[in-house]
Amino acid sequence: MNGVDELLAPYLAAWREQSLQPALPQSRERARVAMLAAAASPAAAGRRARALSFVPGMRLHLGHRRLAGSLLALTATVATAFFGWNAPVGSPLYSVRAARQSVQLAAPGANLAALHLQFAAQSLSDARSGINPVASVADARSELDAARGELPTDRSSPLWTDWDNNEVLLAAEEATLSSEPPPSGNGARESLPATPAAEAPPPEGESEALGAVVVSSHRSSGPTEPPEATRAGGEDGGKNTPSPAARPHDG
Amino acid sequence: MIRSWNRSAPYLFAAAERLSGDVPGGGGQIFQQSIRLAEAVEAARRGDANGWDVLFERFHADVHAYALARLGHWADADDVTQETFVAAVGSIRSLRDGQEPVVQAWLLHICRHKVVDHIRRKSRHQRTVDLGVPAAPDPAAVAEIRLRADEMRDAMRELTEDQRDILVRRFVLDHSLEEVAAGTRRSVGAVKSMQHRALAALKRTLGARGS
Repeated sequence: MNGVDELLAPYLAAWREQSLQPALPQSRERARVAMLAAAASPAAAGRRARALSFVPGMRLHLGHRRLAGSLLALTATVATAFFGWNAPVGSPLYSVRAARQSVQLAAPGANLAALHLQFAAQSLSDARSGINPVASVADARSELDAARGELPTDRSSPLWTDWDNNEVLLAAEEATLSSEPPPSGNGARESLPATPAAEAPPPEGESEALGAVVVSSHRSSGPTEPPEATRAGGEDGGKNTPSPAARPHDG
Repeated sequence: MIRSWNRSAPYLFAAAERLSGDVPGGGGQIFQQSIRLAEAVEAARRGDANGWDVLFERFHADVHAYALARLGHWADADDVTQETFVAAVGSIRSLRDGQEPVVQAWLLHICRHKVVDHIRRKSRHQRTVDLGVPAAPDPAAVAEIRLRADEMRDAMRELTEDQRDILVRRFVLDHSLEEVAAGTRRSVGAVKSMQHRALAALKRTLGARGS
């Protein structure tokens, strides 16, 4: 057999002859039925969908379509998060930034005043860069107001210095906006969020700049300070509570 | 060269016979069958029962022969054959393409693992006596064949798993060296060397028993 040794040939021949005897019909049929049952079972369908040869020797248990869909969704999510992370106000992805800020604020142990100041600085930076300045200024205003409510009572805190600096910058931006003519019928002022200053026209004959009105009205609507106290310079006489007179840019 | 041809000719002829469905000169049929097989593999991938039927019809004999050659026990070979085809259903995705040698190598690879599993299971339990070999016209001849086949399998225990695998493919399934090399992902030289060492070991073992 195949040139093998004479001693081995009869053994190999016998071994081959015995091995090549066909299976019994009933056992053959039993194997076929078992195979077809396995092929028809839901588990096999699931395996067909899941078993994806990814790298030789390694199998990724995801279907092609499901994998592609998951990758697409993941890519879209990452791209949305990336581009929306610092999206300016008015941008379609601003909601991502707002969500991110909400999460940061809701995180346990977060320094709310510092965070609001950081958000306000970011919006101010957007406004100064000319990115939707009206909405950015309004957002900075709301953030500064919120920060004010979270600031410590000790005015020597560096957070107060930040707040004052941001107020100066914000007042300058608001003054710039108020001095600019509205670009169209729907002026920039109209696109501001609904604030008392934005909704009410400036009093007739008032020589004060519109920006200053906006600033003072925002200040009077602070989240922790009643308007009366603000107008009077604070119940504590303006020592610990910020008041319009205490603001550097009001001087 | 002629000697080499004479040695490999029976295997090449056997392979051609298998591919052509036992019809000599059936080159067109070989092509048609390979197309059918590729379609069957695709159908099987989709879970189509007809595709699995074609694969079963085409390869059941090979798988059963492999299992029987390794186990020598009819019922065990039947069980392992069944397990092989059931396992194939679950791993059809790992099949690279629908060419006959590839499909055959894939099924034999599964069968080989099932055989090893079966032997391990068996070794933990008591060995059974084979009562399932079909009756043959000449009981004496059958007994002689069985005796020698059993001695052969006993001697094969001295070999490595890879050597046993190669011997089954070469001497039971009539695969050529190239077919074995492709089916086991080895070089032809490596297969040749393993076969040589395996046969030498068998000769030593059987010769020692005979003397």
